[in-house]
This record gives sequence, structure tokens and C-alpha cells, in this order.
Amino acid sequence: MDFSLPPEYHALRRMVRDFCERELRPVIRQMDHEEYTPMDIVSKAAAAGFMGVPFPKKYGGAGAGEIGYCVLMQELARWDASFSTIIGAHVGIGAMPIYIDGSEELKEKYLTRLAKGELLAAFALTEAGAGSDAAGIRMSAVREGDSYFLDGSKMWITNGPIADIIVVLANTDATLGPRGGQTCFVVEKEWDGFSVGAAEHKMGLHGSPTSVLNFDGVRVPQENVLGQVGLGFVTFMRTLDLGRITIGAAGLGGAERALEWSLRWARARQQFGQAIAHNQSVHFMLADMATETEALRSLVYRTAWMVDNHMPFTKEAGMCKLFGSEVSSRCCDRAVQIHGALGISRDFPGERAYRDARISEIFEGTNEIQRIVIASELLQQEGVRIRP
Amino acid sequence: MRIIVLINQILDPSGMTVNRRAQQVFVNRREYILNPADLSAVEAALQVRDAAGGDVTIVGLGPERVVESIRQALSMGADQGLAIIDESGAAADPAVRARLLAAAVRKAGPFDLVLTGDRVLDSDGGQIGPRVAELLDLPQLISVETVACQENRAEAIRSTETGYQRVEAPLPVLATLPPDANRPRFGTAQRIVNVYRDQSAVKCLSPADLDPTGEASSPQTRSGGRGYPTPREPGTRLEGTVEEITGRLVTALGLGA
Ligand SMILES: Cc1cc2nc3c(=O)[nH]c(=O)nc-3n(C[C@H](O)[C@H](O)[C@H](O)COP(=O)(O)OP(=O)(O)OC[C@H]3O[C@@H](n4cnc5c(N)ncnc54)[C@H](O)[C@@H]3O)c2cc1C
Repeated sequence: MDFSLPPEYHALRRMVRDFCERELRPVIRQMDHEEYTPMDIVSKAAAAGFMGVPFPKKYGGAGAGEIGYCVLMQELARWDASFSTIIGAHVGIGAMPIYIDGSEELKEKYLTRLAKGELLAAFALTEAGAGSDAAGIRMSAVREGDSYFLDGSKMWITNGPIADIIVVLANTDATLGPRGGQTCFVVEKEWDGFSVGAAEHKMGLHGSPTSVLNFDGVRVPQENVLGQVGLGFVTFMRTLDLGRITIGAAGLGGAERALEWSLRWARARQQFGQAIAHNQSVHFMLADMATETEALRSLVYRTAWMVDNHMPFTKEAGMCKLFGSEVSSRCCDRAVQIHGALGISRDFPGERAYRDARISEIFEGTNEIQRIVIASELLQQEGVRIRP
Repeated sequence: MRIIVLINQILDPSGMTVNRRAQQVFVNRREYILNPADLSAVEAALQVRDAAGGDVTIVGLGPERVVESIRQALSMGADQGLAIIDESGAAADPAVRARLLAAAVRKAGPFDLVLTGDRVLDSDGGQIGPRVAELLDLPQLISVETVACQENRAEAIRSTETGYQRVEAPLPVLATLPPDANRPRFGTAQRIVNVYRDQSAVKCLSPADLDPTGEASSPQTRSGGRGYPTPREPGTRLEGTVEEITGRLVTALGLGA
């Protein structure tokens, strides 16, 4: 058994760390306080090759696989979960479906430019009436000749206001539902009938823009059908499976950082004539943070390794999302507690991390839905099918 | 334009704590980084190449791990890497180090420009650039902020306490750069992966390949021990209006009438 990461991943980590310290760090506060999305830093991240980390070289990527992608997300989220969310929505769920199920023509047309960061992508599934019940979408796609016409609205779409292309799921045959009736399309933002609606004002992730997207009779040529007609739901679920691992990786970055802040403050803060690090209640918090963080690290990198080695990983991916978001939330919560009043001050980056972490328990499938996914995988192994 | 950059590797100072009382440096995290001034030299070399064409060769000297730092420079866009692997520690002596590096530069073939950092962050000696230039009989431009090459000349800007100085010299030339001369570019994810997966990206030699007789490797420097400067008494703070402070200062300096 060998738990060490090959050296290229350490080098990648170092580079991302340098990038964050030099480029990202100066704008993190402004991103949070002003709901500001730093497009210049997004371009610099593209120039450093962040957008292509998991994709093969022939599509302009780095060929670093899921493990490399986890390294990237972990390091970005150590500094700022908004920024990691922008990159994650673009790479992990925006470009990823084109990579896993797109035709060679679609890959040539879009994936290479997405991997180089020349185009930004969004992934649009959720609607006003379809959140956890993703199969309950209303958006329709009606075929006329060699085109489809898309009608409907998507909600809560990360990168909505900044995306150049949108990967979107619509009903091609509502009577068939998710099994045969839903299809995935690639839509360009300039196309007639597409518009970006209101942006959300969220509790956290202020630097990552989220909005409504409106499709009002948008004509999509048939070449822009992603995968097979009728099988879009499967593409979307496979994409989310992969995305869930990186929510775990981002949670790992957040949890590690919360522990670092806590260790530093526990040594620095003096009360009752000694550093608060001497209180056993503080020890217990630190020990729990460190233990959970290490358990998360093992889970995330083992799952990424399973992906890179072509093993089934749906159950483990659900665990990464579930455990990763909860560990980062719990660690941020303890970090706030250890910092006392400073913990809730907007001058303390952990205050922002606490708000950011909470959201990861909700998006990409709520943690309740993750438990359902994990349990149904477990029961399926026992021959019991619980999914409709 | 053929450019050679000489690099060194140091312990990451952010992983160390200094205990003044025990007169000791504690290493909490043993990680090595490319010496910051050498990183400036790599960036300057890439800029010259991007403007004038040609290629950049990175030469590193040190234990096996120096290959890591050469890879970092390659992932930024340098073209070739050459490592001289010295596990003996003999190259910690600046005289030995400079001789081996000069031999490596000669071995690397014809060149127009040799760049390196103006100091190593750990020993702060500042000797390598001038020594190598002397051994290779090259004009030297020391501690310059920028280097540009035009036709057969190198032009450089050096900042001084009173302003900027423009210095130039005919090629081939050796120039050294301070750590904050530029903003070194990031390596790209793709190049990082390529450089690590290509086992032949860095060519390795041993000191014996450059110095068969071992003559260059015999040490010249002897360490007489190390210590801290004696702590100074805190100064006196003069308070008051400008006139009052000036008056007190004149008195304190014994200049008063
Ligand atoms: C910041 C942010 C970014 C987002 N980005 C995107 C994006 O880029 N693309 C996209 O398509 N979507 C995106 N979403 C949407 C996100 O995926 C949904 O919010 C999420 O799936 C939950 O749906 P919902 O909000 O409608 O909650 P609901 O489905 O209404 O759930 C409400 C509550 O009921 C529980 N619940 C529902 N059904 C069950 C059940 N069967 N069993 C047990 N409990 C249940 C849920 O767990 C939750 O606690 C984003 C959301 C946020 C907050």
C-alpha cells in the first residue's frame, strides 16, 4: 500500500498555493464584502492551466486526472470557497459532461476552449419546481427539422452571469420522464432567446455569482445535443457523481484552514494568565478537527484514485460530498468558537469560511439526498432497489 | 540567443523558527524552494527569450533534490535542464560551487547570456555570480532589475539609493538579479505534469564529470563558527514639535552652542 502522492501533484499544489497567495489573496475580502467576481483573476487562473487540470492533453488539458483536480480544488478552497466554486462549476460540472458524453465534434468545438479557459461554462439543472427532485424539470425542448427549441427557466445556476456556454437539461418527451425523455444540450449565451435573470444574494460564496437563466424559444442545432437524445438525465447524474468528489476536496481545504487558524489562535490568545491552548475543551475541539480532516483526506483521495483507475465510485462520491461538507462546516464552527468574539468579526476570514461552508451542505444535491444515494447503493448491493 | 540560468535551492524559511536565546534555528517543516533571487533570474531569462528568441537552459548544483527546482523552472517554460548532483556537500563552498558551475556552463556549449540570483537567501554570500564571471572571463552586471539584449549588447537597469543606473556590456555577459526584480510567472498545470512524467526532462551529471581530477572540488573556505550580532541598546525617542525635536537632537549629538 502506498499513500504518497506522486511528485507532480506536489508541484501542482505548490503552484496553486503560490497563485492563491499572490493573485487571489488580495481580492478575497472584496469578493465577500462587495459580491465581487474577479474576472481578471479567473483569466489568470486560466493562463496557469487550472481549467484543464483533469482533462487529457489532446483536449488542451493537463492530464492530471481526478486526483490532480482534487489537489486544485483543495488548495483553492483553502483560500476562498467562492473562487473554488467558480472553477468547480466550470471544470467539474460545466465542461465535464462534454468530456464524459460529448461527441468528438462537440469536444473539438467546446472542450478544448473550455479546458484552456477561453470559454466559461455553467451547468443548468435546477428549476423553481425541481431541486432535489431533479427529474421533475419542466423545461421543454421541441424538435423542428434539425433544431430543438428550448423553453423554460433554470434557477440557482453557478456562473450563470459569467458563462459563455450553458450545459442544460430539458424534456424532449415529457411522457417518458428521466428514462428516455430528457436530453442534454449545449447552449451559447449569444443565441436568441437566452437571457440571464436576477442574481441571488446569498449567505456566503459572495464572489461566486448565481442566477436565474431564461430560455425563451432558444434554437439549438442538433449537433449541440450532448450525448444521446433521451439520455441526458444519465449524463447529468454521472457529472454530479464526479462533482461530488470535488465538493469533498474543497471541504478538505476549508477544514484544514479552519484547523490552522484555530491552532494559531489557541497559542496566541491569553486568558486566565495562559494561552487558551492549555484548556482541555480546546484540545478536544482541535483533536476532533484534525481527526475528521484526516479521515476526509483519505476518503477524498481514495475516491479520486478509484475514478482514475476506472472503478465504480458513486457511493464513495456521495460520501465525499456528505462528509466533506459536514466536516468543513463543523471545523469552521469550531474555529469560530475558539476565536470567541473575533470568530464572528468580519475581519476574521473564518467568519466568511463558516458562511461559505454551510452552503456546501445544500448544493450539488443536499446532504439528505447524498444519504439516499449512499443507502440506495448499499441496498442495491444487497439486491434491494429503492430508487424509483 | 542562448541563455543559461544558474540556480540554487534553499530550505523554505517559512518552515523555520529562530531561537535567539539558544542561538539555534529550528526546522519545523523541511521543504526546499528555488532560491528567490534565482527565481527572478529564471523569469528574466524567459523574458529575454520571449523577446529575442532562442532557448533557456537551467543549471542546478546540489543534492538530488535540486532536480525539483530545475523542474519548477522548466514548468515555467525553460527549455532544458541540467543537474549536477553533488551529495558530498563540497559545493556549499562558494569557491568550489563557482568552479563547478563555470565548468558546467562551458560544457553546456556556446552561450550569450548567463543569469543567476545576486544572493542566496540562506548564506547571503553574493559570491557566485562574480566568481563565475571571473572564471569564464565575462563582463558582469551585478544586481540589476532588468536585462534586455539588443544585437550584441546586453542592457540592464540597476536601482541605486539615488535613482536608476543604466549599464551595458557586450555579449556574452553574466548578470545577477535581486529577489524582487520581477514577478516570476507561474508554471502551468500542463507543463508541470509533462515535466514530471518525462523522465529525461533533466539531464544529470556528477561533479566528477566536470572535474575529473577533483581539483576544483577541494574546499577553500573554512567556517569559523557562527553567532548573532550582539544585541543593541534600544535608542531614545525624541518627542515634541519639530523645533523641539531638532533642538534636542542637536544637544544629544553634542553640537549645541
Ligand atoms: C450556491 C448554490 C449554487 C448552486 N448551483 C447550481 C448549479 O450550478 N446548477 C444547478 O443546476 N443547480 C445549482 N444549485 C441548486 C442546488 O443543486 C439545489 O438547491 C439543491 O439540489 C436542493 O434543491 P432545493 O434548493 O430546491 O431544495 P429542496 O429540494 O426543496 O429541498 C428542501 C429540503 O427538503 C429535503 N428533501 C427534499 N427531498 C427529500 C427527500 N426525498 N428525502 C429527504 N429529504 C428531502 C432537502 O434535503 C432539503 O433539506 C445551486 C444551489 C446553491 C445554493
